[in-house]
Amino acid sequence: MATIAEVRATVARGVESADQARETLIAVRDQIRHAQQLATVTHDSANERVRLGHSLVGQADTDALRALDLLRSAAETAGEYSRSLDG
Amino acid sequence: MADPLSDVLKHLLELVDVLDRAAVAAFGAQTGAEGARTAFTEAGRGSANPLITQAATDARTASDAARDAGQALGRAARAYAAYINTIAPGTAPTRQATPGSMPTGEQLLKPASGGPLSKRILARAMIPNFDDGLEGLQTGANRLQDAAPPGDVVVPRPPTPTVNAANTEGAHLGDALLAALTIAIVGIRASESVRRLRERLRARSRKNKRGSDDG
Repeated sequence: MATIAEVRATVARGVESADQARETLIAVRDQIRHAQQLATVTHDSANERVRLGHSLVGQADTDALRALDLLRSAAETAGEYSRSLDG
Repeated sequence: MADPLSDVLKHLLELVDVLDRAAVAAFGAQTGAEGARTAFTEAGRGSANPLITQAATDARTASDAARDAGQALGRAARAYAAYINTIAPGTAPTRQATPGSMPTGEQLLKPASGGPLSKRILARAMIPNFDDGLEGLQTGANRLQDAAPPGDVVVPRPPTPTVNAANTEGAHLGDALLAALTIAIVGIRASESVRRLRERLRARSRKNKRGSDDG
């Protein structure tokens, strides 16, 4: 059976992983923004692949934002759990 | 004055590059989220507290979302690359890998039987009994040793790893790095095995020589 200190250390490790993943996702969203700026050269294209590309980039941004929110929620909830432990 | 088409192509090629790098980063975020989930699950083992269960669930869902983002970015990069090749054939690296060629970044990270492909490829290169695979090499070396005049030690060279240039052309950065790493590991392991084999053959040769000198 893990001690409270061990459990807290494990939670802290998870929170650190979540924070690193969040930082990476923030960078991913910056890259997506950059990609969207570069893609403006095709804004008047009706090409099927261009439209698909636009759509997928938008979808990726939505997914990245969702992952960011979930990771923040996970870290906050885990921190709350850690503080709720006696000792 | 710059050619307008060249400018557009330059932007589009940069776009594909940015999307590829973003996809790799998103898969990295997936790994981080998975690490968080593992830690929260471990921390909540034996506990009925819903907080830590919720944290683990959120981290897992975040991992899935990061993976989805990476996959969408990879597909977007392929779509734009295909468009580039439509307006200027041969300009963008082809994204349609032939069957059996280098795996894509998505395939490397996709869970499959036996774990991710990257893990399996690396495991193949790093497994402790990898030397067993070189048994045939040693058998062949022994035959050559028997046929060679005493004192002359013949050791076959390890196979030189090669990478098909046509396949790497369309590979993602992660694929190329993985290939290089795998080749390096295989090369090191093979070199170690051949060095040990060479030492054994030299020792045997010396023993045979001593035997013939004594006799």
